[in-house]
This record gives sequence, structure tokens and C-alpha cells, in this order.
Amino acid sequence: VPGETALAFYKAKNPTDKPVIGISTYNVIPFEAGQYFNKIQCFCFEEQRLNPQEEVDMPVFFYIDPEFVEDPKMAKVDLITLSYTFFEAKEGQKLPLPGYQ
Amino acid sequence: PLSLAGECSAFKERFMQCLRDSGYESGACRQRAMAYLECRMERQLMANEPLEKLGFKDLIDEKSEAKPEK
Repeated sequence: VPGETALAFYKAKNPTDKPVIGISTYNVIPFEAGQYFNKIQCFCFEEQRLNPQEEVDMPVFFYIDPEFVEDPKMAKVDLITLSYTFFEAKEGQKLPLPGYQ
Repeated sequence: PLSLAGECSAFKERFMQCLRDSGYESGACRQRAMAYLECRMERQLMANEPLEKLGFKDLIDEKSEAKPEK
């Protein structure tokens, strides 16, 4: 429900036989809904090392801005998808967070 | 910070079980979500924030009403 805080879990696994240093970035679909997505707590997607076969739970605590229900452009939107992509980090690389107008 | 040692995984499992039981109605599982976040805060795996500010004010008020007056 817009305005209500919600918890979601993602799981990341390193399926290789070598340690991997990863960083992740997120996407909200549909794109226009992204402006209503508010992440409350950063569970920190800085560089994270995952050893071979290691799995880690990544929680996200968020809410959808209640203004969402007032936006006529969102009237047909009944599904918002938040996805994370975990990249292998290269030294000195910093992924920009998605920007929404 | 990420919790690699799974300190709060029992709380996470209880929350996930609730989600499965409720057909993924996150609104039905807020009590358990709150318990999970409390676990993280107690173990310094999350910045301390009063639960009222995390959208759990109604659950906190219920809790304190349930407590007997001393």
C-alpha cells in the first residue's frame, strides 16, 4: 500500500570458484514510477566480496510515496518492479545511482 | 552493512514464512519485518532509528497499550 513501509529480500550468490568483488545498482520499472520509490535504509551496496559459492541476503526497506495515487500517469500502474543487478567491480569503479526527475 | 554471518536470519525466516502464508501481502507481515529490523539495529547491522520513524508507529502504540500499567 503506498505510504506503508515494506521489507524485501534479495539474495546474491557467487557461483564461481573464485572470490568476486561486486557492487550493485537498482532499477525501478516502470521508469516513471521510480520517482515514487523511496529507499529508507541503505543496506549498503558498496563493494562486497563474495567468496566462491557464498550467498548473502540483501534486504531493502522502502516505501512508495503516497503521492503515487494522485498521479494520473500512474493510474494504470498496478505493478512496480524493483530489481537489483550485481556487477563484478573493477578497481575505482563507482556506479551512479539511477536519477529520476 | 551486509550481514554475512546471518545473525538475523531466524528473524528473516519468520518474516519470509509470514509472506508465504499470506500470499505475499507485505502489510500482513509488518510485525515480523519490525522484529527483523530490531535485530539488525541491536547488532549494529543497521543505523539506529526509532521504530516510529520507520513506519511502525501503529504497532508500537499497540504494544504499549497491551502492557499493563505499573
